[in-house]
Amino acid sequence: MDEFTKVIVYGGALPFVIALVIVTPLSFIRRREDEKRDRFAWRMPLALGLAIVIAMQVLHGWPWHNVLYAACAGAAGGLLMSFTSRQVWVRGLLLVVTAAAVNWVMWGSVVIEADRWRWFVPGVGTLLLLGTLEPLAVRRPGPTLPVAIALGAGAAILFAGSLNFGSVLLAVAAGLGGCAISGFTRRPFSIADGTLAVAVPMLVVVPLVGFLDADFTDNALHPVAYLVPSLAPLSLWLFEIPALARRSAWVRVPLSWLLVAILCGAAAWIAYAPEDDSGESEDDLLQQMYGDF
Amino acid sequence: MKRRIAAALMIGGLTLAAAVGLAPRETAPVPHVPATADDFFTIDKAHSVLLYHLRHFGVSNFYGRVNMPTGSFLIDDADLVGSYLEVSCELKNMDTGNDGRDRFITGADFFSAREYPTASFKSTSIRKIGEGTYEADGAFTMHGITNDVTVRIEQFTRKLTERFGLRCGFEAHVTLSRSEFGMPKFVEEGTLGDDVTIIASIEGVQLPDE
Repeated sequence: MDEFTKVIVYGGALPFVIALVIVTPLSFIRRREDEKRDRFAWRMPLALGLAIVIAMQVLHGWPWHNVLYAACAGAAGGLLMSFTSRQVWVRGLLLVVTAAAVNWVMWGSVVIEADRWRWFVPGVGTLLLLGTLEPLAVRRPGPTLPVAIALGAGAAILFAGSLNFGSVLLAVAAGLGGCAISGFTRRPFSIADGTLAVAVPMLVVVPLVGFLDADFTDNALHPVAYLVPSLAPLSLWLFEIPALARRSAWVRVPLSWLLVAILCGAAAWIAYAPEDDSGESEDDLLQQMYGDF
Repeated sequence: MKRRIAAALMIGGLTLAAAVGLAPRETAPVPHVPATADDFFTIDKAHSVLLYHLRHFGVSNFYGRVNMPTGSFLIDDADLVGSYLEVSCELKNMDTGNDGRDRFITGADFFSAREYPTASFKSTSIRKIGEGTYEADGAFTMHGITNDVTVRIEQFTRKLTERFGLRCGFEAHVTLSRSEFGMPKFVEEGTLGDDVTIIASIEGVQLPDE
């Protein structure tokens, strides 16, 4: 099996199946009327965390890169969130602890160079993104947000800088896809209950490592391109504007996914669009190639 | 008559002066004097380069280069025990002729250049195998892994230049298995070969004492 096929099978199909197998059976158990909180909320962060870790272990084996330990830190934080209440202070505390844990395990990967501003990017980025997506996930349960995040993760593969890290994002996207399918069952779900804490750190740290690796060789793409796919799911807040929020789900949901896809496409264009050479004539190009003949 | 003699002398003198002035002045033979430990050569990174090639799809040799290697060496027939070769390069100077490929090859799939920013060779012994030809056993470190290799040194040449010090150059060849250095990507399906031949074209300089 060649390298790309391996990545597709073990980095894409496998985490999708793992997430599906863990999440779906429990999703068919109807929610009791007296069940205030989803008592099986833990199934989502567990499924996504296991999907990522198993896929990467099968694909790359030991030793694990810090990115995978960051996924484990996120999964641990996510599981804690799935068992605790959504009270603001409890959730805020868990978000801070999760972001700090992610930063701690990623420290070694970003501290290599002496630029201090980079030291806290994994933690601060995770905290900011979690803090802004979490309320959205609470307002809009169901598959809309996880699919949007999966789209962002899929686009961020372009900026991971390597197949090794790109496959992590593929696993995140596939795992979220497997989880999202359970949205069509009897038990509604929200990725606010821990799933975000697994996915978001990956959306922050993988493009960050991709940028730092490329920047080290003075060969980075436009910095904005690394940011956009991770931030694109935030555009779903736009659909909370009353005029758009009133639209039926059949209009709102596809439009929100389309917006995320357009933003990710723009990021790819910013990064990879050919440089404008319209100002150069054919003679100029010949001059560059052959000098003064 | 005196004027003609004076003119002839003047023309002859000017011709001689011009001949001396225009003659190549940087080819003086170097008398061999046994080297001391202070006689090492520093690699002139502006005139040295590491080239490498490996098979691509099994049909062609792909060539890349790493610019500006650094290090020092001392190779002396009279004292091969004291001879040594140390070459190092920064992988951020990798140049494959394509920005995207440079990003890819220095990234996590291959060199992980940010984590392992340099590659180096340090000899442990050098032996002469012919005129201007040597073999150096030593440790090659790359991607955080060190393996023993034997480097073949060819075209070893010394020359004293008037303005640019004593110069010494050679070409070193070695073939490595990249999977033994923890970089087996695309070997299995034969997209990229496992064997990588490195050709180091090295020029060293021994600047005169101040």
